[in-house]
Amino acid sequence: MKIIYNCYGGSHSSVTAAAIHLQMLPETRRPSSAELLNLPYYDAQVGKDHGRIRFFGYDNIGNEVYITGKKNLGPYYEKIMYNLLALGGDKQGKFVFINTMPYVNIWMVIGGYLSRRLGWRALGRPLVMYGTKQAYWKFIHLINLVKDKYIKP
Amino acid sequence: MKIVFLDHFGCFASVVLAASYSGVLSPKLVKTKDILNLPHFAEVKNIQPGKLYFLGKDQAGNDYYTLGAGFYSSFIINVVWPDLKKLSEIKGRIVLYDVNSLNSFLLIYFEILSQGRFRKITKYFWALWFIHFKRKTIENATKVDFANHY
Repeated sequence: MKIIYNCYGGSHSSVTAAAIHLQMLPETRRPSSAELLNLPYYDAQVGKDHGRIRFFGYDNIGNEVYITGKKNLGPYYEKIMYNLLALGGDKQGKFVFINTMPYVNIWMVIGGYLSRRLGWRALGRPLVMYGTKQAYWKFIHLINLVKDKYIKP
Repeated sequence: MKIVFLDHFGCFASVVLAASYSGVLSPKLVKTKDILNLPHFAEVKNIQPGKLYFLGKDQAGNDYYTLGAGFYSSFIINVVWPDLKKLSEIKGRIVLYDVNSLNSFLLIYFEILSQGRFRKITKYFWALWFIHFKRKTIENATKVDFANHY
């Protein structure tokens, strides 16, 4: 199965969720700033990377985990992707698209905009990391839901 | 080959183009009624992007579809679709074609703001838009050969 975590830019919430899924971040405490910054693609993608589906790793039962940015397509992204896959005769249930946007808080939005759009990393990065830590338990909850629903050992 | 026309809702310019290609509609666009009678044209229930419609088959056996992609048709065609194709085992050839530029942006914004509530009225404006302002463009667009299209 291919699990694709998607958010606006594929830079913060989708990366955090994918990293929790792959156990690259702890499940019992909030991560440190260094742990977040060490993640691949965290606060690193720019405008031209939006839409690219990036491989993030394999989970412990062999599922492939990806991240992507979908701009403002919101919930329609999933619908469009499933329609295109169905058109190509791809097997149902082989792809799972997880929207991480509902778990994004205002700090992540402001920090992400400052850091990624305006390039003000010194200001945006601390804000987005603060926001990620604040929303961290929600991401843990999301991953538990994803694992319960889609991943059968 | 499957040819998918992408526009905002998947029920305006995409339907007209798909119908012209599949031979349901003459590319010369003579009567308003012909456009209004097209299957899925100005579909009342379609108020959000994401819907896929099958429009028909041409004599060469190509299937024609329309898909609503919001303002992101070119984003999907140029960035998302190539990556998705690599990841999946898509069988056969699928060509995506952006026709959002044939739509009236004024009418699109009206549809978004009104949530499609006036579609029974606006469909006449849409048909008139295609006949009076986009006839030549549609005629030229139907000359595109998809065999050489990515």
